[in-house]
Amino acid sequence: MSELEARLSELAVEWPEAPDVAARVRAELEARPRRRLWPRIAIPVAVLALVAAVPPARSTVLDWLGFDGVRIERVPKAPTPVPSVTPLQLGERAPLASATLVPSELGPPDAVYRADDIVTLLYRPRAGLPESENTGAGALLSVIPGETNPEFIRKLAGPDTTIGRVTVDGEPGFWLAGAPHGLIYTHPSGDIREAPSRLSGNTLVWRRGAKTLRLEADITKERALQIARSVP
Amino acid sequence: MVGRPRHLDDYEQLVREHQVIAFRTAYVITGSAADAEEVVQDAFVKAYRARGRFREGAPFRPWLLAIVANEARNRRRSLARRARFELHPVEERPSADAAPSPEAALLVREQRAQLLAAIDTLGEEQRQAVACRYLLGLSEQETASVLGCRPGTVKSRLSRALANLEGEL
Repeated sequence: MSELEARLSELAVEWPEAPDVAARVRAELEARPRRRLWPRIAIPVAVLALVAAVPPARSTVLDWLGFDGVRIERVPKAPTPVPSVTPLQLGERAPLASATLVPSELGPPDAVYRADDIVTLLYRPRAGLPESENTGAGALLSVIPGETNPEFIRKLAGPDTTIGRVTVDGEPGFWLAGAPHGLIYTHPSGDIREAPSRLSGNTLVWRRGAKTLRLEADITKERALQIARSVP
Repeated sequence: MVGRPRHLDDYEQLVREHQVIAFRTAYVITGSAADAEEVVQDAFVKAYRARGRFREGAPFRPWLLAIVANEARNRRRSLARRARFELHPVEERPSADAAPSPEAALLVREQRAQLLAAIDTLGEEQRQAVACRYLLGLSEQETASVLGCRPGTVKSRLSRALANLEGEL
């Protein structure tokens, strides 16, 4: 740094007094929430590149980013698929509870799993439900409790994944298609966890009341929406 | 909406931490304290709503300042009268024990005034670059995003500005 640069850096100047806008910013944000239609499953499809890794530390900023619902971010490269020998890690086998949401288009599932309060219905491949290259299943329907546990799911979507907005029974959702994308979620304890064994292919994510539902199957968007609308 | 108040608490804290640098940045671009105030308020609201585009783990300040500067440039374009920011040397408040001699204090004041006067002779682009980089202490990258140009352009503007200042002094 030259002497002149040092003098400039040390030059003390009188700035106009900076107003305190924090309270006004807050009032404005409380008065006009961004989009009434998208309060829980959120919104932003990030355009910035993100390394396909779990952020190492929770920062202040990450804390306020951590609203519940779903976040989808573009990554330069989707996470590498794990070997198919890895089990799906859907959690423990569980009985089919009477309160479980079962889509009438698919009928009773072949198996039910529970992990971290996420209930997943597994359907084996069959006519109309081709075996998924990524999961080996015909379809997986996960129910994520969005209200009791303020957790969020984050999909890491690569450049080959197309993302579209959809509506299911008047509630917002996303259709992700094309290439596998990873899955990261925040456990109610606050830990950020990665579901390492599953790289979803075509996926429909939508909100249903206080819950977030996710259907993974190698089917068309129309068929996925049909199944989603048959959830009671 | 679960968790919303907590998130706004966190965000309010972020606003308090960054509002001074945000305001001064806006002032450098708009040249008006009143405009800068509105720019900063709008920018913080926009930043919150665009938080999904924030890259987690990245520093918050450069991202925020880019939004502030964008708002400020839009504001400036919409104004009929374009003000230049004005800066004055800080008035010396000598401490009791280490007060310099009156002659030394006068010399320091004169040098500061001279330097500020020299900065005022620069064209707007160079003057803004000097203010961002040296007076506000922004990084080269932050200066580039505030001025809406590439870091290489900041470098060349600064080196021309320094040469002009050397000549002026």
